[in-house]
Amino acid sequence: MKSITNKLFLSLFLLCSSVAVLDAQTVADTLLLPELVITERYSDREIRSTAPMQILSRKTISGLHAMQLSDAVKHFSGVTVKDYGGIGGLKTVSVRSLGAHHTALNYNGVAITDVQSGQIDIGRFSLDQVEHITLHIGQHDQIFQPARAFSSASAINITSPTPSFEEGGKINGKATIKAGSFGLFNPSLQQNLKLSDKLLAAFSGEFMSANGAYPYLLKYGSAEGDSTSREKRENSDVKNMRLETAFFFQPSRETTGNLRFYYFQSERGLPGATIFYNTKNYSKQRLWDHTFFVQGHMDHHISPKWVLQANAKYNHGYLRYLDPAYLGEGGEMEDIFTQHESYGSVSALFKAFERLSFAASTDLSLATMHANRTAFATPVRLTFQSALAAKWISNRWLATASLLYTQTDERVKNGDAAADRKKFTPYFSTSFKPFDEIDLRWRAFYKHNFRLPTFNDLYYPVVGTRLLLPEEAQQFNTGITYGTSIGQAMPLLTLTADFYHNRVKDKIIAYPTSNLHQWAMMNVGLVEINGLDLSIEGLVHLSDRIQWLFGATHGYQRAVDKSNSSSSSYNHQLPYTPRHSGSVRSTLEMPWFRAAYTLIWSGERYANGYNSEVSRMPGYADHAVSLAKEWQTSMGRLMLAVELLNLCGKNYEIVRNYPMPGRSFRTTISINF
Amino acid sequence: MVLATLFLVACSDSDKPGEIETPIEAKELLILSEGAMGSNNSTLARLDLLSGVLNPDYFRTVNKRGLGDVGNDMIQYGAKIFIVVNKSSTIEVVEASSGKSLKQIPMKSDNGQAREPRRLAAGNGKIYVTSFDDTVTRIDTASLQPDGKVTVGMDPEGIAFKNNKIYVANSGGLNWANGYDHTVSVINAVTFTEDYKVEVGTNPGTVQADSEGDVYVSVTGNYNDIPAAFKKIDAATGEVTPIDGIMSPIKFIISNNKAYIINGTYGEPNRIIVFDCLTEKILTDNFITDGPTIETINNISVDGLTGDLFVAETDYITPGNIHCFDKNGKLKYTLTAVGMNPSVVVVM
Repeated sequence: MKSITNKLFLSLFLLCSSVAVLDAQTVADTLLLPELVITERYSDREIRSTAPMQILSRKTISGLHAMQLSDAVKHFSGVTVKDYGGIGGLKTVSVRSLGAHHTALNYNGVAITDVQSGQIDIGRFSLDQVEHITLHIGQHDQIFQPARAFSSASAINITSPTPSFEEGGKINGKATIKAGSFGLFNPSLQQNLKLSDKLLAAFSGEFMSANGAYPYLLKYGSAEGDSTSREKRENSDVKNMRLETAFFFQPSRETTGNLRFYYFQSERGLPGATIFYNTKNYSKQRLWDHTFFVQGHMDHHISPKWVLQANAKYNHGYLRYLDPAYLGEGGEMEDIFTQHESYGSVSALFKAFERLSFAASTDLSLATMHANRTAFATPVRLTFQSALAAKWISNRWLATASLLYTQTDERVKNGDAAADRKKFTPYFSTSFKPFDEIDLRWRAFYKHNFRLPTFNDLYYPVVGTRLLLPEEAQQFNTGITYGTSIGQAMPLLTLTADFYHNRVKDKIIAYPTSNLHQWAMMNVGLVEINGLDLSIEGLVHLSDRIQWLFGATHGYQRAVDKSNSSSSSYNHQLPYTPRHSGSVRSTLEMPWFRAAYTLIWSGERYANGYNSEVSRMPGYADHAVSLAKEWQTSMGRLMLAVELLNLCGKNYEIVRNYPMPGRSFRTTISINF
Repeated sequence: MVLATLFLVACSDSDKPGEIETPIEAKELLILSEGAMGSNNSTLARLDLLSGVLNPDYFRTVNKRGLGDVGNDMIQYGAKIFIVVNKSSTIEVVEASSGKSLKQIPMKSDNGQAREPRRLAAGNGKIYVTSFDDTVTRIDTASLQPDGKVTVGMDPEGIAFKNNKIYVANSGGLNWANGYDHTVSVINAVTFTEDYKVEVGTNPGTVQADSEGDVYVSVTGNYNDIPAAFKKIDAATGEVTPIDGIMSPIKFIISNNKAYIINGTYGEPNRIIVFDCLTEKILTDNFITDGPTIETINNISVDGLTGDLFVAETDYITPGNIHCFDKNGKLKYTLTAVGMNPSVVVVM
């Protein structure tokens, strides 16, 4: 135990200083993994995990041509990012066709939540302050987590860097300016302070603006010879600001903690779909949002067998929507929504035996939502979650199991509240390594989880339906992972292949009714998804000074509607779900500069649940290249990068009538001081 | 040219439309599908009744461009077809015989903003269009130029022309948060000015007139505590009276003095009630005597000559169907997956 806490201490306060210069495959894992070894290689973690886990380290991300989190997430296999185009366009992520509501987003260990809409716009997170991003499908092998972490079908985790200092250093930081096409201007500043041996602080701030006025080709039909016109996206501008402060403390060898304050605000235009014959002046709609949260984490090693942790968060969200050109009386439409959430969690880890450990967690959250509408329900939801988990490790076997209990208590100020829910949801996973000498593993997991209807689903004025049931999802996964190295020339090669079968029951959807202004919500039927995810990642030393890092993913998904055999969409592929999709990334590290190439591609899809020629959307490929160079200067380490994005320049659409920007460029200059 | 073969849903005694007894005049059907909002997928389909061949995307194949976003209404006037496209804010004037667009009339305000045209009526060489900017626009059917505009109530929906009067259902649908409109505007077609407004009840939707000049209105209510109703504005007295037995009217159409009313009681499949406007009696509570149960009816159209009824079915999510019934409510044939939210059918 002593050595572990020692290592912890070191990894937090000393070893981290070397993070920036370490190779991608040996980045120290500074996460707390008390039931695992503390320092390990990422590539190992990906192939040792009992459930599919994918990691993008800072170094990998730097070659991905990614500015927003959504850009990087597109490189995970099994993921579909719904991207409405442009920097300000909404971007949500669905993993293995389960829908955006089943994907959790965790920020430094605590979930980012939106009790109003239930889905997070992953476009608003910049990658400026990210150490690594991981995607867990199913569940993390780490059982020592808040109960909420057991509740989602998959999770994207964003981890910010922990400040690190050279011997004797007390201050360092980084300044970056990004600029590019369509008015992009994105300066950011990060500053780290060593206040004492036991207290570190990190401040960061970022501003981003873009006019988003990109040209596109509007097609008035999909057949050869149909009319087209040259247009420019209107009302697509965005302005964001982020301010963040984090404190890291370690009062004793047994105790560590951190406290984070986060503020984000944005204003953007909502350009809407590109409507035929009505692209000029079509939308004047604006959206403002403010998010503030403070979150804290603390863990304490009581004895070699017992560890405790506590997490807490308070979140405040404000959303204002304005349509100043509304045709109704008064000539405008304004909506203001605010939400609050208080959250607390305590967890205990009991390392009962050398190979077997147990964990228990209990979370409580209280969420409310207000709206500027008369007689708005003003719901309050109290959610109690409790999880029990166990984990077994041997040389050949790794197995985890957990059971989550969720109970809600819902009240409203006006009208009726939705029913309270009580549910148990289990999870099992295992992996087996048959040979001592070969890094080959078989793995499998099963997970049952559900998502509650959001406040919008239940109470949105006129639209919300209080009788909605929770949406249920079941996942089965089995796969093989393999890792090897070929002498000095190829220190790393990993391969993974996973087959999965998912079922979603009582999917919550919104549909328009006979009245244009009247939408409604309902639970629909059953969706069955069978798929295959493949990935390869490798590192090749081409010479002493040149190395090549590459990776590729390929996903196959057959996601079909099984709701009603008499429906025209029965057995048809879900809308916006390509059968084949994938990504390629390749970075060549040379002493002179770094050259990177990426590709995101998708096969054809359908815009409608009834797959026909009319709803068919062609596949697309988005290529990007970049050159980057670093210099050591007297002021610090200077980096200059130029990226060329969407090389083919096609305004492909991920969502119909929401074209993506064509060819564009971005330059980045940064200095580490 | 994309021509899809007509799909016929098996029905015990249905047949190919070509072999169905139709008047010699009826050679083809034009079917307008609204599309889904924001999807640019409003379509005009053409069914050749002799060959049974359906071209689901007729307008685009002829004109090399789509209709646009939310085609709300279609009317035939002489040799021309007029189509309003709500979110594209256009009126397409189409040559009935060829499907060619003769003119696309933009419906924009002076500052270039969409006026959102909604429904159509025709009379005396003019087309009258309601728009969500609280107006009725008059378009000359010869010059195809707008030549007049009248301000009416909030967010006008349905419109009817009878005896040189234009009746407009002012819904106030865009003002739902603060209160619907509750009037029908009566416009003098000669002077093209609003004569007066009649109080009819919350959220009027469709308005139609019979041969005696009685005007019928469906009022939709507020989807909450104010219920829907079917009402008559008496031609002679101007008095507004509710019609008993029609509780949840949605859209309706009057043809040969019969009102075919889509009734949408919550939790039940839609029904078509037939009301005799002369005897003022309900003829049947459920028009369909022999055919499928249709959960959601988006619109109905009548062939004035034969009494055939075209029922447009939708689930709002996937392309919907058109069911053709004879005048006795017996299914003749079904066209499946015609377009998103199929609506008006014109028989030519």
